[in-house]
Amino acid sequence: MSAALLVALIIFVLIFLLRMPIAFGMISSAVAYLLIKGQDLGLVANQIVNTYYTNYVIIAVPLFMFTANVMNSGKVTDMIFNFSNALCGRMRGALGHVNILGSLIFSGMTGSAIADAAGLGKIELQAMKSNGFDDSFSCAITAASSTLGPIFPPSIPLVIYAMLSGTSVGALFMGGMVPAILLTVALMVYVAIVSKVRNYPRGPQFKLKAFIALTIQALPSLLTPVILLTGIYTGVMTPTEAGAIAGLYAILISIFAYKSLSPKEFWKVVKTTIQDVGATSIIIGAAAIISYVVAREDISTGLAKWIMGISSNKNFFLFLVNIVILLLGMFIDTSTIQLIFVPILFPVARALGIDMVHFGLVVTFNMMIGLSTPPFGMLLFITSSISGTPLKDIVKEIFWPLLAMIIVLLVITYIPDTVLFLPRAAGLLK
Amino acid sequence: MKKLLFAVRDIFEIYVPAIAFLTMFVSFIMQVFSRYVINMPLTWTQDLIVMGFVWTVLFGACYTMRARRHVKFTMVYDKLKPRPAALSRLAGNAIIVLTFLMLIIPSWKYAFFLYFQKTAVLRINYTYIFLPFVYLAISVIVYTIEEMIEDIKVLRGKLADSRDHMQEEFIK
Repeated sequence: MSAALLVALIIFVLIFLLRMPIAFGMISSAVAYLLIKGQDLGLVANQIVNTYYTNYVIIAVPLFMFTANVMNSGKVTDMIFNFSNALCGRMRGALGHVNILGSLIFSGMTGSAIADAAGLGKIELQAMKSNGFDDSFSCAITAASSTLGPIFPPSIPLVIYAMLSGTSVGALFMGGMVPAILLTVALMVYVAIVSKVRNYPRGPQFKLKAFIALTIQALPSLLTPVILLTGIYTGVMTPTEAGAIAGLYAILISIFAYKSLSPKEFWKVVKTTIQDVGATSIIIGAAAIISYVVAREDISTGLAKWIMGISSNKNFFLFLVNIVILLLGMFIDTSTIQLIFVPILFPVARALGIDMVHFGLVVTFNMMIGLSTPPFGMLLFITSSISGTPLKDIVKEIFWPLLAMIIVLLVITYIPDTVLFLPRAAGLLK
Repeated sequence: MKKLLFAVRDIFEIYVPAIAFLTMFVSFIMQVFSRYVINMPLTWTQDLIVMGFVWTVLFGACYTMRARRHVKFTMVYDKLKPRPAALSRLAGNAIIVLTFLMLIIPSWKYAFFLYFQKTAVLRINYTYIFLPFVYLAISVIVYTIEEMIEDIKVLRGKLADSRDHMQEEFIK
């Protein structure tokens, strides 16, 4: 290891010990490397800005964030909740199921777990609290179901993965559908069991007339995923353009169908969005300069040789990757894992003949589990702060949903067809 | 004077990225609309979109800095008592300030090095695309120093705890 790399690595570790903003810490780490190597520091601006300038596909990220913020500010989220509520009706523990179905529907419009937990999650948590569910259970299921957001298309992490790996966004999106459905089923089974054991309340009975009325009300929101996905798969729009159209559609239905979103609210949405974009995209840029260091030091090749030396078994490699990402996910922020660690694995995955769409879904799914794993799980923090439930109570409860997620992860890892069947059938993959 | 400075700051950190974002958003819509409805693909939208995105990110990141919303790993920090916490953040922030101080001039030079390159359709000078990075560097330095002053106050016993540290404890 060169001295430059060692210093860079030390600073990289300090990011986590000293509470440095991750993006700027990464830049510090790379700058130290460049200084020691005697390179021009103009390279930093070059690498970072070029990431935004040349990767057209990641422009979808701010657009999907904007859409989610519009939906959460208008009444769209309420409509989805009411509709799911009517759908689950008299089931035992209905609100638990509503939580999952609502997230599935919401995930067809946005691509972020955080947006799901913070927006729809807020409504779900309130409703569950007033209906006698344990707070810790409500938080755990809200966190777990939010994971659907980035798995079911559209998805912000999958867009970023597409940028990093050069895979098709369309194929990745389609590949996420079956895993999302599997996760929905797994979580619903969990809710059903817990509700029976703890005797959670049933939902209200909806008369057919009320059900139809609620469905009609929710229809404009329910159409969003349809418009988005048809647009992408018929080739009418690129996924990035679809992000913009979804944003426009969200604005239109908020104003005309739901009579919400005043100019003042809209301005608030724009301001929140630029903050969100600033926070997320700057890490993507900072990671690019770290990737430059990784490439210069040829770390991927070294790792590839090392892993191939141990075993060139595809399944063993995937097993190893899953364990490592699960462990990293417990402690490190998802964006760091995705932008720094995952790309290092690409050469090995390719050499082993793993389909990159399959690989993308496996690592993304795994990283999203990381959002709910203690001690560092963003979704746990969010649900805890929204509901005022102590973190340790949620941590106790999250074990079973985590197990359900890990089972689904294993299924999609070892049965690649669960991911690849749909994109292949659609002719997006060979 | 102070008022004017704050107004300028708002322009760069709120209005510019907001307008950049909305320009990008509207350009996308026009692009799709014009291609399918009027059947006349636009070329200039591409330049605006990419430039809008770069500006949204770089100026928006300053606004995120002001709101102290950048992603941080706080697990270790939160476990510390106020003074060690202040000390650790101070050390991390010192590294960041140093880094960005060193980046200002090379980034400025790089932006002007690209002076003669222009975007494909609208012939926008590349300097305008890279220059916001210099603003970001300065903004990171200023906001980070603001945090450092807070931490120094904590270390000197003038402040019980920094506001980020208390806030984190409250959430847990």
